[in-house]
Amino acid sequence: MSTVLGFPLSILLSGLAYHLSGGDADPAKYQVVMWIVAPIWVTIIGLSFLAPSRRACWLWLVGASLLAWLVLDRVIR
Amino acid sequence: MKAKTVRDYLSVHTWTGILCGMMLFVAFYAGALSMFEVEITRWAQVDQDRRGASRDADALLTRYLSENPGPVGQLTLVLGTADGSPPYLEASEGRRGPSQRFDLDASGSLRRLAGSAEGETGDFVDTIHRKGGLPLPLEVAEPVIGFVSLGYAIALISGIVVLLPSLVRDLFTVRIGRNIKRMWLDLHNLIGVASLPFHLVIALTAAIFGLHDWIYGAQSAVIYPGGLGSAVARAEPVREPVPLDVRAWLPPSELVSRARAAAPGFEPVGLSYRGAGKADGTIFMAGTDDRHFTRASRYGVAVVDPATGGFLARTYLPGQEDTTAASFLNSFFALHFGSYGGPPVRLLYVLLGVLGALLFYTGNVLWIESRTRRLRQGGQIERPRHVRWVAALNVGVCLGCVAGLSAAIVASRWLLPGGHAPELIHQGSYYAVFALFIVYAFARGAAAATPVLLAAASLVTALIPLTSLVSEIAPEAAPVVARSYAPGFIYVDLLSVAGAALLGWMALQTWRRLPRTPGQPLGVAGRPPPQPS
Repeated sequence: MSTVLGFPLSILLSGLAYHLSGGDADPAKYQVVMWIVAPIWVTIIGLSFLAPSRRACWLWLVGASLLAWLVLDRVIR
Repeated sequence: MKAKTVRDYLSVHTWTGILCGMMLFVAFYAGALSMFEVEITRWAQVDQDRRGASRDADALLTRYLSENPGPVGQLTLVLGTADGSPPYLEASEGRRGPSQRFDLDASGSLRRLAGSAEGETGDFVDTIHRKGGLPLPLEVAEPVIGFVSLGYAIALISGIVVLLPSLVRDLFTVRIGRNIKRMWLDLHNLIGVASLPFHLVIALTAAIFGLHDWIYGAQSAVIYPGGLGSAVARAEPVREPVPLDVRAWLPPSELVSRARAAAPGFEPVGLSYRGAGKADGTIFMAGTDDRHFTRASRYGVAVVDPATGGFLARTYLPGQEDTTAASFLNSFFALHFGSYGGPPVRLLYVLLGVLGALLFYTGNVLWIESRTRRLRQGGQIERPRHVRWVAALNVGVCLGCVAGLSAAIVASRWLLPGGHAPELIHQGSYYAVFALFIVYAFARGAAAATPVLLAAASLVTALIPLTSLVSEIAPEAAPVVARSYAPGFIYVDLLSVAGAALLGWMALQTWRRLPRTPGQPLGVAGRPPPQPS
């Protein structure tokens, strides 16, 4: 489950990494930003087993995704 | 740490591990072999006799283009090497279409060569590696491997968490005794911790190799206003249009000498012509530089403007990247490919790869042992069917892959000169041996089949150095394999000797461990070995 919910969150976090580190000045950056999705995703899944219950895990992931989406939305604009 | 947390991670570790373990064994073992992909191809396949072939790459390209006046598809010029191999051209219609090879013979006329990139034995080994042995098309197998790699990364994290409480005390203790499970567990932990950084690197990079299309797709929709294409376009250099006709581009020798001057230490080995007929045509110049991380398994790439010979991008230029992100990016590829430092690092990667394969093998054996014990404590004497199946499948798949790859390499050397299609020889010999091993493992049961299959895998692997020996000592007895000994052969032969010896030793060890009950055949399928403890 955290594998599924972890994916959008890691994509959103990779977006933050792209836009908060100075945009597209570096031509290789979009590739690096693709690569970092794997370690972020795996970290999210790894941490999700620490959640006290399935519900708490869900809430954390959905909440974090919403927050990341809101911040990314602001940054892109 | 709470005991329940540790237990939770243990069950996560077990399930992700067992599901991915067999595919990962195949990927690791084939991957270890693919470190010497080029040498394997050279060992297994006879090069066409090209004595007297022209060493003039410019003339070869000009000649090919004048005889093929139509639109230029995918074109790669492999430059001549210092040890005397003349240049040749590899041409295909599209990016993945079947290719044909050409060179100039002694009289200066264009000659079609036998062989193509798709038919190389080393390439077959690499394909098995990339598919994890799945008999599926690459496009289907790759995302599967991507998810398996992700699961493997999770298994690494959870495995370390499980081990943490007793890490320091237990790490270097391998309790070789009557308790087989304890010994397997100690070995599993020791190999896992000792090569953890390597495993994390491989897991995360392999996940990306498998899933990059999906990730780019999601990123394109979510994080790039205007899509991924706009981000890529912004990363492209601004440049003058180039002549549409490849014939008007700078000749290869000129491109090579300009590149050598612009990037000392970068030794060009090939030119790939991209986008002929378009104003943004480029040449991807492959070149070696063992001092640095390289983007591909044996070379880095300079993106060259075909009109001026100047570099359009230094992103993949080994050690001479122009941005931080580019250096970072190349390190991901190079750490997976072991493409830095030349042959010593490649040998190290073979060792790490084989140890990695053993990690999955021991992991699966552990699973089987603990299932058996738990059930026996519950009063059950026979192993349940699903445990027997997993045990047989594990032995059949792992050893079948080892023997199958050796068989494919040997079969190439003996049968390819007969003119059969390389794909048929490679796939046929690999999957025939692979299937035979699985069938045998199921028929006899894992315990009884293991020593037999280990011995068989050892024998098939020993055929590789034996073939070399025949070619050296008695070439007239088997002219079909007789070849002069090329420098790279030694890696193939010595590694096979080591592999055959290891497999033979393991066969002996497991044969000694088989339970022997008077009046009964050895290790009857499904009967657990009697365990004092």
